Amino acid sequence: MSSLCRNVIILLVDDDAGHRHLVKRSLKRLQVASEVIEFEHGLALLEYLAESRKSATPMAERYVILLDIRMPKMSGVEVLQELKSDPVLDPIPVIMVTTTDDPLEMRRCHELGCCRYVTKPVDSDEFAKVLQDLGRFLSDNIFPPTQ
Amino acid sequence: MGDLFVFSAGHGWDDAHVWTHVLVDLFIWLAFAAVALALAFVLWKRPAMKHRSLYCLLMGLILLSGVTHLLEALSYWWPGYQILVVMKVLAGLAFLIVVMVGMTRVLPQIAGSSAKGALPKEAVLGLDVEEQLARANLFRTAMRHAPIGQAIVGLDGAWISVNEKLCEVFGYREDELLQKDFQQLTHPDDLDADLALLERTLAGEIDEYSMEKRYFNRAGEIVYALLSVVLIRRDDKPQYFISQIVDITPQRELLMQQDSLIRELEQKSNELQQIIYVVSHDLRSPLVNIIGFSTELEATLKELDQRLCDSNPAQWAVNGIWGDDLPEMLHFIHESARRMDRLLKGLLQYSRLGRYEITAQHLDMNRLMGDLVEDFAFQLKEVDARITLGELDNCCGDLTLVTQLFGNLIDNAIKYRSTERPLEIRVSSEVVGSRIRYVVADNGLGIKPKFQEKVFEVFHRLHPDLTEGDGLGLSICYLVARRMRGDIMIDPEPDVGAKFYVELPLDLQTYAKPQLLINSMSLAQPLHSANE
Repeated sequence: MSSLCRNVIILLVDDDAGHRHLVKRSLKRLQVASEVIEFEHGLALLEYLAESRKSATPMAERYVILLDIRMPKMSGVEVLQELKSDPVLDPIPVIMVTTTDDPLEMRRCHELGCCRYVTKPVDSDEFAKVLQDLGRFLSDNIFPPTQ
Repeated sequence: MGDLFVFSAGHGWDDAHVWTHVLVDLFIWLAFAAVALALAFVLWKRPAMKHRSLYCLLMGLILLSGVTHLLEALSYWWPGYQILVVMKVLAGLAFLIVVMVGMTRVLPQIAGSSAKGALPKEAVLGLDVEEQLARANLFRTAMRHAPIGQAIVGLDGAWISVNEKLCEVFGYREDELLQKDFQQLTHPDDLDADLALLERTLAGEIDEYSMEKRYFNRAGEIVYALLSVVLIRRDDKPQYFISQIVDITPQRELLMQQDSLIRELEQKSNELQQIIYVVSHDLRSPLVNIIGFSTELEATLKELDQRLCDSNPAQWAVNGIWGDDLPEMLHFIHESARRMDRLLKGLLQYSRLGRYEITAQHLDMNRLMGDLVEDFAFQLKEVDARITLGELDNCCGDLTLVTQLFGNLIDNAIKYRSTERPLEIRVSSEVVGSRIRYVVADNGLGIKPKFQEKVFEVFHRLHPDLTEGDGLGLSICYLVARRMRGDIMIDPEPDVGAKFYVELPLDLQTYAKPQLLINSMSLAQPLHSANE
């Protein structure tokens, strides 16, 4: 799994430094060796992506976005909307990682085109489970083993 | 003249006498004829007059009497005594008939009927002029002093006649008001609607109409009024409108006050929902950190402990700080954070329920409960519980919410089961008025009467030591039951365990008209309702 994910960069968007830290630690413990770039809010992410559009490598092969919903300035849903309305950014897999378990919100994100929706469980065991799940998801769905 | 002289010589009349008699007789004849003519005119104008024949007879009598005087006058020149006698006899007979019929039969009738006062409608036409005038007067007085505004309005909208109340409502003197038409006083936004109805009335589509509309009074203030209009026609031709105008400004103002209060409440409630939603989310965020890092700390501590122990086992073994104190403290942090998380989740769920949009539909309850039991199959098997479903009546409600309600009740039964006996849950139903009452009974710990009031309160937990409940299960049941226009109650003294009664509307009709629901509370006194 780790080798498959090595080339992909995880873009972690969360206004809470603690959450980012926890996600990074858990990823490390789960041996996801991908580089992680942190963003405090959605605007920073969009700026970064605007810059990296110039690169020749297709977006979907370079990035996975972990996106929080409740953030200042621009909510995760708005960021998702922005991403999905841009044909270049649209292929990047987006996984919503959030405290919101509101079914309406979930449905909305799925309608907008997010790949997955995971609620931030406060239970650390479950958190690990979700991340493990996430790792499996990354390797299976987005980066299928290439022969 | 010679004839006349011979004829009258025997009586010894002189010329002056004769001429006086002739002139007076002629005058009397003319007077009688005029009276008879007047009576004939009245009879011709009012064909519906009662006792018509009597009046005709009277007319004849007057005419005959007149003619006798004419003949008397002529007798000086033309002595037609035989005819005069015949005329006098006829007149006498006519008098006799009039007196007999008129005085003995008709007069008591007229006197009697007017004494009774209340006449059948068709008899009104037969009333004598005086009586009719009195009645018209009475009616005019009634209209003038009526406690609601009344007016006769011309086809062009001008006020033809207005009563005192209407003047009071609009703040104008009567003569001022009569200078205006209703269009001038009507609020421009309501004028078109009124005129449209007026047109339809004139066109004969409708006979009358009522509407709520706004006028302006003299001070330029808005007067809210309930207007009722009827068009009077004569021979199918529109004559005028009769309008009744009830001033409903005080009621309207009260209604508007209520409306603004309701809006304010709605806004407050929305704000509250929003606050609960935002706060519970934002509070969960730091919790993720507290639990995440306390877990990390625990892991780090274990690792550190292991390493120190490896390097110098003798020294670390006696130091209780690493081994006991720190993990214990971390455990408390961890557990408290988890409890807080549960509460916040519950709060979120509760607030979501308040914002949830209901879709009321007919519910197949046997199927709903069957599905629910299937969902709980694992948990029920785990505690070796048995659930018995009776033949259930169907009701009306929102599928998701009603499922949640009964799910919470089953969940509750599982949580608060007795350790002394395997859990048994029985679900049955009965029709109570226009509601279906579902009975969910278990053989668990039960709820003591003094706590029964508390169980529907938000976050109230009876057995905080027993289970990991969030204290919201029954509050949500209560909220759902109320939102379904039903009710939830606890049997105060079941034989064993707890017994809940859930009442839901029988069908969509009773759901749509909750005021039709017969409140079973009045039928079954001892039940404790969440409604109290």
